[in-house]
Amino acid sequence: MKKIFNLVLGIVTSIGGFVEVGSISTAAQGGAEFGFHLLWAIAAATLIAAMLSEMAGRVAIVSRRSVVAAVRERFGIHLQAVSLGAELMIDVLLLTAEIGGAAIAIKLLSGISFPWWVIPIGAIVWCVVWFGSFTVIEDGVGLLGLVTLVFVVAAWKLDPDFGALATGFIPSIPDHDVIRYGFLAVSIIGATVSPYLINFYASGTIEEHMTKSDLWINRTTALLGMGFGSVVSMGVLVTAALVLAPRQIMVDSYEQAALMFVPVFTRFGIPLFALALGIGCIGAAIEITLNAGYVLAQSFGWPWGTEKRRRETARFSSAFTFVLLLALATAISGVDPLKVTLISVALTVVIMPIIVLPFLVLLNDRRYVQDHTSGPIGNGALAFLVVLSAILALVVIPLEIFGG
Amino acid sequence: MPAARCAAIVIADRGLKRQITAGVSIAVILLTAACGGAEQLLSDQEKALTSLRATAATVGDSWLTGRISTRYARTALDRTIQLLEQQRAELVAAPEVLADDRGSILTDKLQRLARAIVALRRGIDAGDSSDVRRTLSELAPTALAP
Repeated sequence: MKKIFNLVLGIVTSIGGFVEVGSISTAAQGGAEFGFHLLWAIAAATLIAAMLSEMAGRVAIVSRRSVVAAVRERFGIHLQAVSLGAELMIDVLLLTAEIGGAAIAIKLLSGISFPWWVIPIGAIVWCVVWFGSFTVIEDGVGLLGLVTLVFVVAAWKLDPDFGALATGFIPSIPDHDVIRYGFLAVSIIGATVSPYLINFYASGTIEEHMTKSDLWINRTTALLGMGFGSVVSMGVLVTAALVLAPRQIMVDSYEQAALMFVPVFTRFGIPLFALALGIGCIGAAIEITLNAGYVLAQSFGWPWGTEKRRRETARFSSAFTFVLLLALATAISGVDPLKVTLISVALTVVIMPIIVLPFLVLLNDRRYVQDHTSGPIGNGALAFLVVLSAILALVVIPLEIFGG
Repeated sequence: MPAARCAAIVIADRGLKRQITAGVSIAVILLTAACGGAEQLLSDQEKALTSLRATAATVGDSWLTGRISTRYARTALDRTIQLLEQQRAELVAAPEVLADDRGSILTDKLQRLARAIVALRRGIDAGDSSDVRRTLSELAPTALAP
């Protein structure tokens, strides 16, 4: 009974960290410019994220090592150094975007310029990570993140044509702005398949002391949890498609994105949007900060974990504090969080092959997964993913230049 | 005649012919890219203009109907003006586009939109609904036509 409860909680709280500034902004832009035609990209990205999360969780549970440590051990520090450098750079950019997004959410309510809110938000994030246990962080962030379901409510209340909605799940070439369409499709994938999401998920299985008897929980949580989160992203896209697209409003700022709630929720629209954006961003900021500590500590073999005392994990604690400070310094300079978001999702796609390729080896190495190796379907899917990620990595920069 | 014969002999050299062909091809490609780039810039600018005008109109209309607060309306219009300035800066940085008739018409429309948004913000600040309604009629697409 307790396991069932934990499973349901795990699925529900997966929303925290999934729906954040990247998924909100890319889905809103996709809906505003191409209607329902990019729903397939959210679905595809969710499947990829679910698959990678399940695999990362499986490696961590069976081998009792984080994926980062397993990669370092199996491939050597040189490959890990490349992966570490890339992931840290993206973590700093994403963290900057999340803090900026949360600051803009407060600006929408207060009217006060967003750089003023960067330090207070950073302080909240640091306090939660420093003083909170993993359960408090994961479940707290997740439960608060349920407020983002307001996007699903908005989409529902707008009474979309479900037939037209269904065709959005079939990939198609639009009749206008093909390069821009391609850029947004790739950005949606980059926003969803974030390295931090996969590593945080895997590290969480160790923090929660999951064992091989919990592998079915890992599989179910990865699939249903990511699926649940993707429903919210789809809610964002559908709402933008029904409200902003007919008015030809493109989402070049969060102030424009907020207008999507006005027809549905009238005078509660802007506050609800700000709440959903703010909580989504702060939740993701907490997870990214923690993940930065995980990645550094796991790469160098330092003690890590939220359940341990901070003095026992001094280097882990210093690592996430330093990364947070870097992100705060960048955010306070006033960089446009939306632009930083789009750059970070593009870079995520560029490094995706480095993230995905090790899984092909680890999931077939009995030293790490024992009897739980991937079967032919799993290996086929992974091989396809490796090829796909390589193609996307090649096209994303030209797409960003000409369509971003 | 001797000079022409010399020139003919030189050009007849296959190596030089190859270089000239490559040079002309590169020039054609660059010229095409420049023209294509200018065309794309104009198209993007027109879409941005439509989007920013629609944003300002939606904000004004929502304020009139009490669906958004004055505070948010100010924030949204200020941001719209910033985005408008970014669009104008992009246009000014592309003189080949400004030389085009469409480019100069677009610049004029951006300036008129900026004035209308400033007037809209002033009306919202003063809480003057009739002023805001008048400005909204100026924001209609036909009102911004040359």
